[in-house]
Amino acid sequence: MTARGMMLTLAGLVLAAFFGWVLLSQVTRLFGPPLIPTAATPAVQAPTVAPTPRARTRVPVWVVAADGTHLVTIPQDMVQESSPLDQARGALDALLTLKPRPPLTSAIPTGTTLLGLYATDTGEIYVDLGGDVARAHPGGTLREVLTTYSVVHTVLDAMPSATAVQILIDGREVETLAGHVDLRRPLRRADHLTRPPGPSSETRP
Amino acid sequence: MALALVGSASWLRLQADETSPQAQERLTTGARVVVIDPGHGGDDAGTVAPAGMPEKDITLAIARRLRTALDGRPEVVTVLTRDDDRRLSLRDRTALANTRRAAALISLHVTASAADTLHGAEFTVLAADDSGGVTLESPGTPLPVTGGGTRVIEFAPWDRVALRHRDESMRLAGAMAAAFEATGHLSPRGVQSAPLAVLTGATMAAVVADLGYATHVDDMARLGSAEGQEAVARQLREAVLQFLAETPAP
Repeated sequence: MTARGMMLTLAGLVLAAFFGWVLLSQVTRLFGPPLIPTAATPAVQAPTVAPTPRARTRVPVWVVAADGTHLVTIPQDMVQESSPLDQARGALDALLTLKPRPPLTSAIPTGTTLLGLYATDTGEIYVDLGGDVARAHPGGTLREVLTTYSVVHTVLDAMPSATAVQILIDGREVETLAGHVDLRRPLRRADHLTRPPGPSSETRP
Repeated sequence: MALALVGSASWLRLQADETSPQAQERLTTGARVVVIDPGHGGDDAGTVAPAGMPEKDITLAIARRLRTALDGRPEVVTVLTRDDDRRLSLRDRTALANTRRAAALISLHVTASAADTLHGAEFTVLAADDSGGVTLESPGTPLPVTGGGTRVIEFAPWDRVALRHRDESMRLAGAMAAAFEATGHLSPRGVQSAPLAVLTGATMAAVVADLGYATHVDDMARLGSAEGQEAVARQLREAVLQFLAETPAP
């Protein structure tokens, strides 16, 4: 290639680069983020502000009373969730892990996990528990009744719009947990099994 | 939705030889069937005391003694839902009582508590809706009949039909509670109501009889001994006979 040819090629490359830059800057201007700060995005960064702490609430979690025949509440401090279903999930997480101070006891077998929580538009809540809730259950009609209703009442208290709770195990509808309480349909409250909050029920874990 | 009669052909075959010719004869003269259900069985041991028989063995032993205690009575024919160590679904237990058109279903269990001081027998009937169970809503449906016009047919969902027999069930549970109270073996809980699966769909008086606490030493000593089991069977027999005497045949 001659010197003239090289000069022409170089000039062509410079021109192509220039037009490419002009084109790219216009496209960015049209479709990209604004280059000029708007009122919503001040040019000067505001001083860092600590995030507002999320509101907290007290949710009752139901455990077995000292006499072994009733359920009483232990209020749990937890973050106020914007979704009632999330509030119920938080309450259930607390129920499944709570180790109350004696003489109160948890009605939930050790190792029980929450696999899922679902709501229908008619106010029924489905609580899907891991299989340990059945495998590790010690049995007996009364203990099974209290296990079942500690879940039912904890969910219904955390989610006042709900009307009934059905317990599933490993994603399936089951006949019972340990041979007694009918889990084939959603259960409502059983207030005769509960005692109102009192000194013993306010014992914190 | 399933209707009231829950049945099981396999159960009809399995249980066909459980009524002897004498029992069949008693049935033709108005004797009524009492179904005795030994709770749990097979790989389902029920609750197990730290040192004692598993629930499934206690309930079977007492069921057999109760059958013996009642079989001499002309007004009763007994049927056991199981007479060996096998697992049965709760639906099959209820279905057997329904298909036999039993006057009473007594499901025998042993309960347990977190409090080891709690002791004695207690009896549970199906809960109504205000106490955690189901409701009986049976307004009746007018359906056309042959020849014109309509007839109100009352459909009862099977999971609610047992509530029709709630009064009878309460009487049977009350008779049992009285029999155990007389010997000092009634729990402070006495008669309860709960949505127990074996009671759901039962078309007769139906009671879950928790005969004691696996978590109480004296209860387990009584339920694990031949003398104790015999005493419990006698108390149940008294209650059943009293209930039948006070309940007119349909």
